[in-house]
Order: sequence, then structure tokens, then C-alpha cells
Amino acid sequence: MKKHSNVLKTVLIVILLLPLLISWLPEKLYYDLREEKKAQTYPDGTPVMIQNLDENGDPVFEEDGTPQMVVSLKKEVTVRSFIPESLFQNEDKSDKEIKASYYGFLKFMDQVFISFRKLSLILVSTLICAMIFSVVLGYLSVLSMSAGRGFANVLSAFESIPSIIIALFCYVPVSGVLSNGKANAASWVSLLVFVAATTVTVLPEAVRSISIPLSDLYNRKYSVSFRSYGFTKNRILSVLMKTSLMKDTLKRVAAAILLKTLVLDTSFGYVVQLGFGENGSPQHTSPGSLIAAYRSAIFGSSDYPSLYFWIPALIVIAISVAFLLILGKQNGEEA
Amino acid sequence: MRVLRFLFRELVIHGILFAMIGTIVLSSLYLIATGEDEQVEGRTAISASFNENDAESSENQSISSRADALLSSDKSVWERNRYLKALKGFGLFLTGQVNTSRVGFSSGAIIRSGAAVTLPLALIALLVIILISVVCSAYAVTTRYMTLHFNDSTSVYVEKLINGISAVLAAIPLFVGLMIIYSVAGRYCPLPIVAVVTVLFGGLSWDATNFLKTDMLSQVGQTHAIVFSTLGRPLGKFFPSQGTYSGYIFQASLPRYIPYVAGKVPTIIGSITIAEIAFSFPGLGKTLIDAMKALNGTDTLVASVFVLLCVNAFVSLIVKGILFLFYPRWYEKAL
Amino acid sequence: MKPVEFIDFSIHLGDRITLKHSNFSLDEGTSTVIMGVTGTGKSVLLKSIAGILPMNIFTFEGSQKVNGLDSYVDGKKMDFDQWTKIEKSGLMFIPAETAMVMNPSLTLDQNLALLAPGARELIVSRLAQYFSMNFENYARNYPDEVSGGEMQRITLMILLSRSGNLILLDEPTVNLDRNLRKSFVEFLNKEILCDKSKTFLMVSHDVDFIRRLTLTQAYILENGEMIKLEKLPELEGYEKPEAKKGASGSAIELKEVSQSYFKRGMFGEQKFTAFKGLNLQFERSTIYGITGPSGCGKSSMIKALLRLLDETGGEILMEGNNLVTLKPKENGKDPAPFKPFRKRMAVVQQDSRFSFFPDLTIRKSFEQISKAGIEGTIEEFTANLEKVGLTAEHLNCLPQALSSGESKRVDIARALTAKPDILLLDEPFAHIDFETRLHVMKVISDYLAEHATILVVVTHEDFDLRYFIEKNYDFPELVGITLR
Repeated sequence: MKKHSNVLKTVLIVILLLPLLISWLPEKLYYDLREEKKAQTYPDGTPVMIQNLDENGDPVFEEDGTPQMVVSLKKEVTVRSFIPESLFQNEDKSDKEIKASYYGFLKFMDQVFISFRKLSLILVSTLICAMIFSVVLGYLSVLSMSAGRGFANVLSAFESIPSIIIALFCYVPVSGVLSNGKANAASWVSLLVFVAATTVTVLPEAVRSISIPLSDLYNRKYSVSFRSYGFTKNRILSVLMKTSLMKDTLKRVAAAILLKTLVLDTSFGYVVQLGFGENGSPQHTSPGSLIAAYRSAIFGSSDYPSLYFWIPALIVIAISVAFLLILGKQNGEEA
Repeated sequence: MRVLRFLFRELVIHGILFAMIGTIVLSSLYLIATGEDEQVEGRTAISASFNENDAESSENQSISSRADALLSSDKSVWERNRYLKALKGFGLFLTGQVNTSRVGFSSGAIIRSGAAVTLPLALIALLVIILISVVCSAYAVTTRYMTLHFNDSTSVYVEKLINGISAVLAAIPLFVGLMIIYSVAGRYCPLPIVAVVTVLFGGLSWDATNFLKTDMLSQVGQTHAIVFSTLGRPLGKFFPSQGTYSGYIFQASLPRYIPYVAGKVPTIIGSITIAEIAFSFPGLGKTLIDAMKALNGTDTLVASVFVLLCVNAFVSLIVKGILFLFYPRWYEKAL
Repeated sequence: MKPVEFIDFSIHLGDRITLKHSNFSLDEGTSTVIMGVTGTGKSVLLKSIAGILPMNIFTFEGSQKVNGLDSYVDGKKMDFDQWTKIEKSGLMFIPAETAMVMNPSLTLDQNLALLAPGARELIVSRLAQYFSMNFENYARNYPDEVSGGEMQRITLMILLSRSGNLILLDEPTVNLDRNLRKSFVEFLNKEILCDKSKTFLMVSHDVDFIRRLTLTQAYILENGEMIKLEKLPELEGYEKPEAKKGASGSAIELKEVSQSYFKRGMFGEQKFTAFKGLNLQFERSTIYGITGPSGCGKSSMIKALLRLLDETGGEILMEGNNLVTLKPKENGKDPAPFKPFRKRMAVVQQDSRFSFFPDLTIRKSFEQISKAGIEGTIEEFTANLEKVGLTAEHLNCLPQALSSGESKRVDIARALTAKPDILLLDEPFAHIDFETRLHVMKVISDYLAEHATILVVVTHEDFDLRYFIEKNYDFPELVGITLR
């Protein structure tokens, strides 16, 4: 019975986390929006010629003074997607409006995929960074009492600052880079900054979760016998880190880190979007900012259909449920 | 004597000193990160005035001395250096003076009104979290007791239901939940409802309930709880009042629960700020964002960070004070 | 009204029946003991009367009445309100682990008010009279600030001084130290057993203890049947094995040894003293015993001898070397001059599960330990295992798969394989039954005959003292500790 529920839970977790994986599939697989500039032609096939205008809208002249004529180009949008246009059929709206909302929706889905791609990147990088720091600091805390106390003091100081402040202040360099116009560098800076801010936030709890069981294992259980064999403390601790108890603890810490990262990243994206608007961050790079950008969708009287709010929101909720299940599974297994 | 030492430690060191150092550190980070902007500002100002005097004085004076002359002409040391300018603003704020350098913008008044929103919200949220976790844990403990000792599993299903609902609520990220409530209730949501919603979504009450529940459930099998159960006292199904079974177990868990709640205060404040931003409440969160958006907002920024940290320290002080009053020995141990 | 009445009452533990269709009953004012081998279900019977058995493991048949009120009817336990009435009618249950009875986050005074309201004066006077303790010195302390032995005395007195008419006492001698035992017997005889308003039901396997009490009747629980005994069984005559003697001579001398440790308190770190002024001499080939109540510092002495603690004062002399100066601080490593001494020491600690690598088989653990430089081959280890009654099969088990008795014997075998010069045993026979115990004791004595080892055993069981220990020291006397 227990085994069945375990398998069910694992399947559920995988299903809930699918969006993160799907977002990495190449775009061409699910839709293809191509904007082409095609030459306009008269019914008999000759190309339409119009005057060439420069950036300011003034006509361009040839050397001999005659206006320059170029072929008129029309923007043509061709789309191939598995989402049928018929979903957007509405008698009240004109053909043009339907096409506009359809293309708009496809563009929106593109943004959704990009944001979840970014999210998975942040989750993985924060997990790696935070786990490395937590294990190292947790181990060192038990190895040396004074180091442990020092770390605990510093970390509890970090803990006393509301995480939103840490994140906001770390965001500032991102805005600095953005204002200089380097959008690409801004993406990398924002990734780095998110990872740093989230690591600082999850570290206190994670280090404690590792150092307390390890110290209990050493001081209360294994130290007397093993030290009397002549093993050094370092050796004993490295052995203890490989016990099944500590391995379960590490899994739990990882699950907690993932959950906290998800919450922080999405909340933070939301706050930045809400507070700074479109100029706030490399556009919509977090599901949170996406949701915030389209928040008016659920207010009834807006341009966007409420799907624009619910799709990213439900995916975020699904991922969050998956992480909670993982955490619950770890707790359940050890209980 | 002990009281003095407690007050000194909590109020002075963890409160005021920490708030000041935190403000200075965070503001310096901000200033360092936005350094480029101000330099650009300065340069454009210099080049603008330089262009005016272009014709006459370019032969006579070198560019740098010109710039120096312009820079030093009408601004004192405090105004020129941005760090000192921020420090001056901070000092003015501390002494209660209003910053009049910006028209129609009284930072002191804004911040004071902000604290009048953020602080009550935080306190209400704290009370709600405590109430929810205490009631749920009492219910869980009595359910476990009745199942174990009387095979009475009627309340097990209710408990599972409550568990499920709170898990779902916890999985919904805070800002999503806030958006949903906002779309339903509108802008003028009363303060207590905002606090309750903040606590329910996003896992604040979920974490606290789990902590207390796990602690209390682990006590149920212990000898002292068994001996108490033979004394013939009431059960205390919904609230762990003094003299009931759940009240006894709750008392045994208190020494760990109160420090836990004290540690949760920064997280509560963080969530409150997000709620303020979502509902556009005139609280410290909104002030912080506005200050970061505005170019000359350094004064407001520094002041609002300081006040936020003070609110944080104040609420922590209340919780730790309760711990100190009732369990001075446990306060020592939790240090 | 009979305080306890069974009507065709049976108790099932899963598939096993621990009590078969019993019609056992107690009359008012009587004092009864139920004896039997460990594991027959004596405690289970007692706990069923107290109503604290977990209902998901135990099932019942028949009916039971406590103080005239129905407690079980037709195999079903009555509801919460009924049991509240029963508990309020005078039921008193005292568990075996008396050190864990108090709420750890309340002071002793608050616990007393909870457990025995209104009986404070009586308790204070009794504590002074029978245990020579002044309760006021402890009233404002928390349970973990009081040593184990003191805790036991206070708890027993509080629980036994409650107002009630039915006293259920579960295995009271399991954790009693020798000093407490004498005064406890006196107290029971004088205050509890001759009080005819109270009915007393005790469960115990300690025949020595039972003999000294004035009881009305005795039962034995065997195979689910309650058989009334005409007279108490005699203790079988065990013969103390002859301990062969090897070389003698003072091998370790402790001079003015003291041990302190630091505890974090309100005013920074405070120094607490575990013991001081310890003067002892251990000779080779003699079996020494150190006894004393829990928490008096015996384990600290062992750790100090092993040089695993800081802040050891005084001198520990061995072959002219002062071990304290060779290794003054414990920081995870042994300084080179101390290493040879480390190799000559072996310890068997209280919980033997923690002597071996947690995820390796015993065989692999032993290989790792040998690599650290401890003497002994796997063949010698196997031979020792067989000597203590185990087989080579146990080498392939994981530590958590062994029972507590088996892991203890594996640990002892391991310690003997290392051929130590100093062998320290901390409560070595705690989980071993008397038969096996004698066997293991013989193995250790044989070892002692071949190697002139210094052997120190920390114990508090009378059996060990009678049949194994040659020279016994009472630790509190050694360091001059008296109860407050």
C-alpha cells in the first residue's frame, strides 16, 4: 500500500514538473511565427513602387534630383502552430481582431516559455551554489566549535533582514547595467544576482539543518568509540556525512532550497515588475514578472483574456506543489 | 540585573545598532551599485555649462580646472559626495527634521505613515500565525491521542482535510493569491483581511503549523505525556488551555516554539511588504520601491530601510521579550 | 468494592496472547507483586489497568473494572469521559523510567503542583526523612539541571505521595542505584505498604528487592496465566568464577584529578565541575568496579581517562608519564607522544551501536578499525565472537540489525581482540540476561589471566558487583559528593 502511494507521488511530481522541461524544447516544435517582408504586387504581377523615405520621414532623392523609388514591402505573417486559430473565433470580432488576438496569444506563449526556461536555470544554479555552501559551512561548523559559532552569528544576522530587502538591493546593479543599455549583460548580471541573493537567504536554515544532526551524531553518539580507535575528528565527520541519516538530511535541504528559490524568484520578479514596470528588468524573465505584467487580466475589464494570468500562475502553483510533495516525501520517509 | 542585560542585548544591540549598521551597509551597496548614474548626471551638467562658455574661455582655461570650478562653486562637501549626502540625510531624519530638498516630498511624514501601516499589519499577521498554528496543532495532538488510546479516529479525516487545504494554500505563491483576492475584493481591502491572506498563502502559517505540530506530536509518546494522561484532565481539543492535555504538551514545546516565531519575523515582514505593494497600501514596502525608482530618492531610501529594520527589530523584541518573561532559562539556551 | 477486577479478561499483542482469560482481582488494602521473566507481559497487564496501552497494537477480550467503574467491556475500552472518571477516582501509575516523568520545560515546583497538588508539605518532609534531601534546593530548577539520581528520588516521592487509592508501580528497580534502593525499601515498607487505605500492585523481576518488602501476596505470570505463589522463589546459587591472577603492580594512578566543562549561560560561559579531588590507584589484573547514581560523574571519569575531554586537572600517571600533560586538550587529533598510549586503551561504551560504522557490516568496520592501527586480526575477532556466544555469521550483519545484547557482545569481543592494556567498560552488561552475563564475565576473566590488563567497570547492578567485581569504589564517596 505504501509502495503504491510512493509510486503515485513520484508520478505526480514528474507530471507537475513537466512544464519546466517542456520550456526547453525548441520553439519550432510548438509554433512558428514568421514575419516576412514580401514585395507587394499588382494583380498582373508588376511590383508596386513607392517613394523611399528616410528615418525622419523625409523623401530620399537620387543624385539627379528625382525621388528614389523602391519596391513596396508588405509585412506578412505566417504562422504554424498546434494551437488552432479556431479557438479564437468570435462572431463579435472582425477577422483582423481575431488574427491579432491569436498572434498576441502566440507571442505571449513564447514569453511564457522563455520565463520558465529562465526559472529552471535559476533553480538549478541556485541549488548547486547553495548546496555547496551549506555542506561546506555545515561541516566546518561541526569540525571547529569557534568557527561554528562565528558562522552562526553571521548567518543569523543575515536572517534578521527581510529577504525582500536583500533581493531588492541586489537588484540595483541589474538596473545599473540595464540603464547603460547592455541588455544581454543585464540578463547575466540578473542571474548572478538572483543566485547570490537567494543563496544568502536560504543559507542560515540549510547550514543549521546540516550542522545540528551532524553534531548530534558526533558528540552524542560516535565520538567516544571512534576517537578511542585513534581516528581524527575530520575522518569521523567525513564518515558520518555518508551515513543514510545525513544523506536524507541533505535531500531534505535540497528540497527546501528548491522551494524557497521558487518562492523568492517569482515574488521578486513580481515586485520588480509591479514597482518598476517594463523598464524594470530584462523583460519578463521571471514567471513572477510575467504574472505581474498581465495582472490586469483577471480584473475583468481589460485587453487581455484571463488566460494570460492563469496559465503562468497555474504552472507556478504546479511546480510549487511538486516541491512541497518532494519535501513531504522526505519528511514522511524519515518519520 | 537580568532584565537590564536582556534589554541591553535585545533593544540596543539587536535593535538599534543592528538597524543602523544594516541601513548603512545596504545603502552603501545601493550607492556603489548606482554610482555610474550620478557620474553621468554630473558630466552632462558640466558639459552643458561648458558648451555655453565655449566661445570665450576655451583658449584661456583648461577643461579640468573649468570643471573643478563649476563643481566646487555652489556645493559644499556634504552635497558633493553622494555618500556623505546620504549620511547627512540619515542624520537629519534621525533628529526628526524633515527633508525639504525635494518639493512636496516630506520623507519623514511618509515614513511615519508607512510605519503606521506596516507595523500593525506585521503584528496582526504574527497573531494570526500563532493562532492558526496553535489551534491546528492542538487539534492534531488530540486526534493522535484519541486514535492511540481510544481507537477513536473520527477526527482523523477532518485533520487530513485541513492538512490538504492548507497544503494547497501554501503551494499558491503569495503574490498570486494576493492578485486573486485583489481582483475579488478590490482596492479597499480591510487591514486584518490583508494580514490573514498574507499569512495563509505562500506557506507562512504552513511552516509554523508544521513546526509546532511535529514538536508536539513527538511529545505524545514520551513518558511525561503518558503520566499526565493518567491524571484525568480534560482534553483541550481546539485550544491548548492551561490544565488540558494539549495545553500540557504545548507548554513542553513552547521553549522551542517561541524562538522559532522570533526567527520568522523577518519573513513575515517580507511578505507584508509584498502585500503592501500588491494592494498599493501606503506602507513601507511601497515607499521603498518609490524611493528606488526616483533618482534623488537616496534620503527616502535610507530612511525607509532604517524604519523597516526598526519595525523588524521591534516585533522581534516583543516576541523575545515574551520568551524572556516566561522562560528566562530557555531564552538563555536559545542564544 | 474491589479496586481491580478482571472478568475473563485477555490481552492480545498482535498474534501473541499475554494474558489468558484471567479472573484476577485485588482486595482493598492489599499489596501484591507480579513476578515473571522479562517479556511475559507483566508491564502490559499493569498498563492495561492504567489505560495507557496503544490501541493499534493491543486487543482485548472480556471485561475489567477499576475502582468499581467499568474500564473495558466485552473487549472494548470505554470512552474518554469514563476513563476520566476512573483516573479521578484514585488511580496512580508510576512508570519504570522515573527520570523522564517531569515536563522538561517546567520547574520541579511547577511539575509537583501538576502531578500532586496539595501534597507539597508531605513530599518535602518525606524527602528529608528518607532520602536526606532538601527539596527547596531543587524547587526552582528545571529537570535537566538536576542529576539523574536526584531526579529519580524526587519523582518517586512525588508520584507516591499523590492522593489516590490504587498504586500501580512498574519495574521500580530497573534504574535504582544501591543507595537509593535501601532507603526506598524503607520508605515503601513504612509509608505505603502498611497504609491499609491504599491498594498496591507492583511488577518486578528483582527477587532480592521483593524479599525485603512486606507484601500480602505474590503472583507469577507465566504463559499468560496468573499463578499465585505460596512463597517467594530463592535466588539460584550462582558460583562466582575464579578470576585468575596475573602480574600486579600499580599501573595507573589518579592524583587530584578534576573535570570541568563549560556551559553557556546568561552571563557568558560558566564553568561547571563534574568532579574534583579524585585519588585512585588501579593495579593490573584486578577487576575494579565504579558504582554510583546516574549523573555523578562516572562517565566523565572514563572520558577523562581516555583523554577525550578538555579541562582535566590533576595528574593521570602511567609508567611515569602524565597523560594529562601529554594530551591536555581535545581538538580532534592526538599529539604524537600520546599516540602509543591511545593504542593501548579500549573502551566499551554504553550504547554499542555507536562503536561501529553505521552503514558497513561488522567485518568491514573491523577492517577499517584495524587500518587505524588497532591490533588484532579478523581470525582473532571471530574466535572472540565465538567465545562470547555468537557466530562468524554476525560479522556480516549491519550494526542496526543486531539486538542490543548481541551488539554489546560484539563490542566486547572487538575490545578484547585489540589486546588492550587498559580496558574500560561503561555499563557493559546492561542488556544481557544473567545466564549470558556469567558467560561473558568468564571470557573477560580468562583474558585478564593472559594479559596483565587494567580493567575498570562502571556499573550499578548488584549482580555484577556480586559475581564479577573484585574491588569496588563508590564514586560519590571518592569525590566527596553529598546530596543537597
